[in-house]
Amino acid sequence: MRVEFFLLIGALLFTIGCVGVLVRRNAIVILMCIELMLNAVNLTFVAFAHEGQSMAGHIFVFFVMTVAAAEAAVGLAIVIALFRRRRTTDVEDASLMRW
Amino acid sequence: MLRLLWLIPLLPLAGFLVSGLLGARFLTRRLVALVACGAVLLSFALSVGAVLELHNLAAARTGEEASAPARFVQTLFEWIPIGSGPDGADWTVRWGYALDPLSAVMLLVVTGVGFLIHVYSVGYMEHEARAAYARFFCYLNLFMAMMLTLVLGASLPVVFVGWEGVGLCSYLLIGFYYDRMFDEKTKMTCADAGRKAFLVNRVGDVGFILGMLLLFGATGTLDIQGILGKVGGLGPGVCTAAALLLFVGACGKSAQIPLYVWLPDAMAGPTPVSALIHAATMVTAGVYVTCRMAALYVQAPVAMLTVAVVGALTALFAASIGLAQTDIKKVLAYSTVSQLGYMMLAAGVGAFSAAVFHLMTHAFFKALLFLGAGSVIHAMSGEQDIRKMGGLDRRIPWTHATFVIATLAIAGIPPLAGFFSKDEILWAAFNRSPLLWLVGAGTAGLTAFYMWRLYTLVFRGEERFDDEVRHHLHESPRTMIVPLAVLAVLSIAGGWVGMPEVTGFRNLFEGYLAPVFEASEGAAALHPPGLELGLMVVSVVIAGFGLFLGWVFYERRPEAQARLADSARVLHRLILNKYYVDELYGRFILDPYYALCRAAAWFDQWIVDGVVNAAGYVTLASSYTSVGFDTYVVDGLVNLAGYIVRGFSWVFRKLQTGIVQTYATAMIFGIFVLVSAYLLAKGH
Amino acid sequence: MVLLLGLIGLIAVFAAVRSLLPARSIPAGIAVGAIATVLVALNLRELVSLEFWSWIIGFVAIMSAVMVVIHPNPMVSVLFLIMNLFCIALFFLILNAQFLAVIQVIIYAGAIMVLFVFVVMLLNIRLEEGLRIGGGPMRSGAIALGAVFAALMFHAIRNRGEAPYFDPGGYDAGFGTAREIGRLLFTRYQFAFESASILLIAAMIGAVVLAKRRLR
Repeated sequence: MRVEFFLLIGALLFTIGCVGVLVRRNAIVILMCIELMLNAVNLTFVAFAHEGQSMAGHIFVFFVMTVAAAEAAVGLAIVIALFRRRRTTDVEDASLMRW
Repeated sequence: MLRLLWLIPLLPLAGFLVSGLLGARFLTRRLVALVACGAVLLSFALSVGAVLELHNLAAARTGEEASAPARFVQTLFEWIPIGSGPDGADWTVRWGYALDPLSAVMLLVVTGVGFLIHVYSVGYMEHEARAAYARFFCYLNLFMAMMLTLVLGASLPVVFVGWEGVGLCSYLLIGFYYDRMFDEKTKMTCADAGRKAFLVNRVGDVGFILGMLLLFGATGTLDIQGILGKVGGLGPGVCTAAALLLFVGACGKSAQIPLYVWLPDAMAGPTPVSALIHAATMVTAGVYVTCRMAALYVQAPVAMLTVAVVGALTALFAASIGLAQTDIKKVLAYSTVSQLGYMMLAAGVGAFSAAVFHLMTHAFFKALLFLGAGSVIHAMSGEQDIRKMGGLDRRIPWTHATFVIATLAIAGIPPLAGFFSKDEILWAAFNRSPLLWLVGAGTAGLTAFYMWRLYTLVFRGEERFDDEVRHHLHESPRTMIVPLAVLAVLSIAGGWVGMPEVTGFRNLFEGYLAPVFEASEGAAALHPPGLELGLMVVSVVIAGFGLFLGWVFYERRPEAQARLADSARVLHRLILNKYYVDELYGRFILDPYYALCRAAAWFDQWIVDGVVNAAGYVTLASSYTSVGFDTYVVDGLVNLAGYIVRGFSWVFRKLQTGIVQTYATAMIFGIFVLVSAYLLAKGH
Repeated sequence: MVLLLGLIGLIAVFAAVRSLLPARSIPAGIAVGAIATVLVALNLRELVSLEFWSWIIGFVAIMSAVMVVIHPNPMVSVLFLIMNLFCIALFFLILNAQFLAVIQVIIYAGAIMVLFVFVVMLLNIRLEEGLRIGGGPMRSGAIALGAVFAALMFHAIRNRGEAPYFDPGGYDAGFGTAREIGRLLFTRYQFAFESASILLIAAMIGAVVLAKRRLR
């Protein structure tokens, strides 16, 4: 398979994840879209590793996953803490820093 | 004694300082009088000594010097050190005194008559307050000092100092009773009269100054002898101009037409002042200066003719006014103007020594007349209207006697003094022009008439005053009578030094002054001596006729006088109101001048001050503009910056939504732009 | 290619019928199934090609990603995300990254997604309010941006260079294995490995602290 195919898929997934981050109001869904973006990036890395026959891409994906896990954990912890306060996960309600 | 010449003007000046500074507070009246009279007496003594010494000096000279006039010059100090002129002439003005026969005569007259009047004033001013008493004598002494400076001055600026000084003293003394009203009808105060005198004199002084400057420019020196020595070299035009200008000054001081108007109003001053200043001394200053500059006048026949004509007209004019006056001092004032006209007439026809002779005799009998009038007024408790007098011959005999003598003297009855001097003038006038003689003779008749009128109305007839005055009527004290007596003697005998040649006696006076006027003494007798004798007789007849008419109209048949006045009502009114000269002056000279003054005041107030105020307003306006500018423009700009920032901030704060996704959108958009730019750039 | 496109077309038709004419969904389904069977029978050879299956997996991945974003219910979004992760893992397999594929399923889909599920259940979210799709200017701006983005993609794809065809036989046998990854992790990228462990500890502590209930 040509590598462009995987790159294209990755790009599309990334875009969709991006749109999701910007559009959704639920904090958890936003975190999930972030995960989606990270996965798209992983796909792109692996595709290039395959094309260049280099294991560095895999290592990088390894670390990306690690960080994604950590970030998902902390992010959800924050969401839970916020939910306890406000009884809502709507990010629009967390706009105290507006003008 | 000649070396002490400088003391003669200085002594009265010292008296002035003492009386002025100390008199009001620290000295008694007696002390003040002593100082004042003593100073003048000392000056008189010094003058006599100096004159005698001069005469001895002249007599000691022999040879070709004998004909030159005896002169003694004493220079005191360099007054205006100018240095040398461009042609090497010495332009420095020195303060110096010169004594020659002419100034000797003046000196003796001024100090002598002045002393007598000082003594008289001691009695006359007795009842004044001490401060006023001291002030009077202070001014009187100052006057003496100034007059002596004028007489003795060796150069024209020194004479001018004296000239101005006597003018000042005239002002001070006329306005002596400065808070008193002088003329109720015109609301003129004594101070106004003083001011009038000063200002009219000022007009004359302009002429004097211009003449002085002209002579300086023409001859390069201001020393009198220096000028007179060079007048021969100047053209007739320059001489005429200078002579006429100096004559303008003389008109002011000696009260000729048209500058005589101050003299009648000068009667506002105390009577001794009128006697001293306005009869004997100050008013003769003009005649004196004219005679002093005789050499100049001789070079300018036109000027001399002018002088003669003006003098003659003045004499006649003033005499005609004196006919109808009702104030005793006013009559005498117009008489003075008239007699001064005689003196100018004499100078104008070249008879300078005759002019000086008449000056001397006039000083005697006019001073006597004024002092007598003062005595009358003193006796009448201040009344001066002759219509309210009469019958005083029995009441105040001494005054009466001396007054009669003076009246006869002024009328020109021989052998009293006035006859000789007046006759000299008439003879010289006849030699020049019979018309001038006619005017002079007519004036003599008028003089006799009005003087007898005055005498009659004051002393003769029935008493026309009320009991209040009668109660206080008394003869004057001795201090006033003695000077009267002395002057009466002088009025009788004073003319005997100037006997006309034809009578066989020597004319001592003319001989004494001859060296001074040698260069200028005019035509000798062109006519046979018999004519002179005949004219003398004619003048006596005219004088007698005048006296007779006066007696008829005022003593014998007073009603005739009233009828005459009635039938010539217009003429009577004209001369009663002094030909309305003062009113004419007021209308044509003073009113335009006041209008000019008002215009100048308006200009100053509205335009000059307006400009200054406008500058202030401009400053104010500019400050307001500046304030406005600062408030609205400068601050406005500063505020505008603030508003702009705020406006932008209104827009930009919308970016701070507080929603994280908005920020993320912006970020992604930025990344998008960057990546697109990179791709597009790479793609090419 | 034909099979692929045909199948996709049929799915699209079915979806359209289902949404527009719900009553006719069953007969439409039967018809679509029949046609699909016919197509498969005709193109059996294509069934074994890697390319075909790559396209199918890709299609599914994208669809599931879209559903993650669109669906209002968060739980459904989680499930679709799991499906997406599976597709990604399959991609990893195709690309000779065996180890990563397994790791993806175990860690990503197995741990992280479970965490998500737990949180969603904990917070008990039902349905969310409408999507934050903005007003007129924002919408038209987004559309314009999307158009530009599509043009960029088109441009990038058009100008791609020649790339070698994928040949599974010519590769190092150890490529993508655990051995290789382990070898690299403990020699060359050791520091990063250790740092990642510290990061995980920090994240763990953070999560515990943040989510803890307040002490009474």
